[in-house]
Amino acid sequence: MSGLDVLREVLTEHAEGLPQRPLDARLSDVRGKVRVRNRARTGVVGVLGALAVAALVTVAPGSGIPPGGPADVPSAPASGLSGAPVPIVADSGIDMYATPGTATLIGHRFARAGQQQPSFSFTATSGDLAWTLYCAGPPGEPSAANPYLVAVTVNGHPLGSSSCAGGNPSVLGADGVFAGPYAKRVTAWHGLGVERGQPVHVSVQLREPGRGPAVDPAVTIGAAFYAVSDNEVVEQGIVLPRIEEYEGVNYRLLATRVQPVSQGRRLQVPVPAADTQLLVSWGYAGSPGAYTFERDGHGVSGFSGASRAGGSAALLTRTGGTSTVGVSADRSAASSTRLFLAFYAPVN
Amino acid sequence: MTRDATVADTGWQDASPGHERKSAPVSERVGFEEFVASRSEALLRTAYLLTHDHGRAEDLLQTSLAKAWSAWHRIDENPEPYVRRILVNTYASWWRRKWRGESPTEALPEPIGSSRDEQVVDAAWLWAALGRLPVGQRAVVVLRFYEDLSEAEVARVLGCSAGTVKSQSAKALAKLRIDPQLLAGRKPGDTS
Repeated sequence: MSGLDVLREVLTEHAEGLPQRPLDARLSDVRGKVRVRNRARTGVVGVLGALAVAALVTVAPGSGIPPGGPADVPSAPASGLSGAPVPIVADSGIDMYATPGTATLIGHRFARAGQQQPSFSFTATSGDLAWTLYCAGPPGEPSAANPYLVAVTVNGHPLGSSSCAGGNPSVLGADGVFAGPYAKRVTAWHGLGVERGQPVHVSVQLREPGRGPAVDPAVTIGAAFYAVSDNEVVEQGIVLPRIEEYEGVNYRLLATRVQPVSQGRRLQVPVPAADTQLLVSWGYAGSPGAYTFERDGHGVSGFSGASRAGGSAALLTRTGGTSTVGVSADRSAASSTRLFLAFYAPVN
Repeated sequence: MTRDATVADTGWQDASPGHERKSAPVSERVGFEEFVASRSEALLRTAYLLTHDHGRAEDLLQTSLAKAWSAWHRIDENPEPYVRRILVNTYASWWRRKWRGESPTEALPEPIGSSRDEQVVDAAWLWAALGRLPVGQRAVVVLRFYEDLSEAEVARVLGCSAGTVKSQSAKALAKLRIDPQLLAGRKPGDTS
């Protein structure tokens, strides 16, 4: 058997027999993502149903910590219900968050994809950067950009490209990041010639798949870059930012819980008593498997099996009936896998 | 399907801002649902080979289908190559785009169970080595050697030249041949 035959066999063996979600459940999840995309583009916030990556759950007034629950989750400080909005900066009609999470906007440029495509320079005020790319057709016809890719280079090194068919959020944020803890991210940027205090040169280019650089003055492309500070908590190897931006509000880390699967396949935590909205991140670090975010012991539709290491977020409010949130792993998760929940309170 | 529900009734909405269409024709919606019913298993397999994670594969598939939905009415021919292209491009963009609300984590080593069957050991190490390939090379390997696409077809999916596909494929295979952990796995006790 040749090496290529072995390769084909290994690929086939792993691809076969995957558990499939029921069609209705999958269609329901896709509908949820379509709704999320629609809301993200139109800027409507707050009407959430069963979504793939975010859900609105509610907290019973005075739910606090139920008897027998862990007592190390503090109450949230009595702040405003939803926190102060993150300032927004506009350039060429495109909105960007100025200080999402621990990031600070330090450079941006947007222009038509004509012969001269956008490039700009800024000084790296941190060794770790985050970025976002923008690509859209003219107003009223944003999908005109769908056939293209937008690509970016940093100091002449390719950073990456993205399909323009993916659309743009209504407000750009610090979404593009290298994974891992701060030191690892700084090393990655070092490889692209980025050093704290030194100038960084960015070029953005419209590309046509299979044909290379493209010119289409109807399409606007651009990028924004953020300096990211070393401001994170590492709990048993899980990196959590101290401040996290979510839908235009910054949230500060309030409490975390980490549990190895060896100590139980379900991590369940009472929602802290709070007179405010809370953000909860959940997830796992470890082996692949099916992980479910739960509220009051019930899996939230659309989350099951849609996790990856690092988790996702849900928004908690003070009215309603949720008293516990949790994350559970199915039997395929290795015992060394760790489940986590992290609560964030809004920054005012 | 004979229901005459509106998009608002069923949850199907156009994702493009400013788009005049308020509801999708029933035939269009049926076409999309039929496509999901008939092709999502195959697309999930591709997504799994790219991500090596069932949860991420499902999310990648759903994200790609949601993106495809917004352009569904513009697809005249077989939609599968279009959706596959979205899937691969979305995967390629994930290495640098944070999943909403995600907190990056340290990857834990995933121990591979030992086996007396050398072929099984080889296969396990090869699977792990595939996971260490750069994003682009992994995509080429999956499309060439699992999907059995020609170099020209892979080039169309990835939006690059056939020459790039050829060189990426050669680099990927070379990397697999000299993967140190794969070599070590083939020679138990050899820690070099």
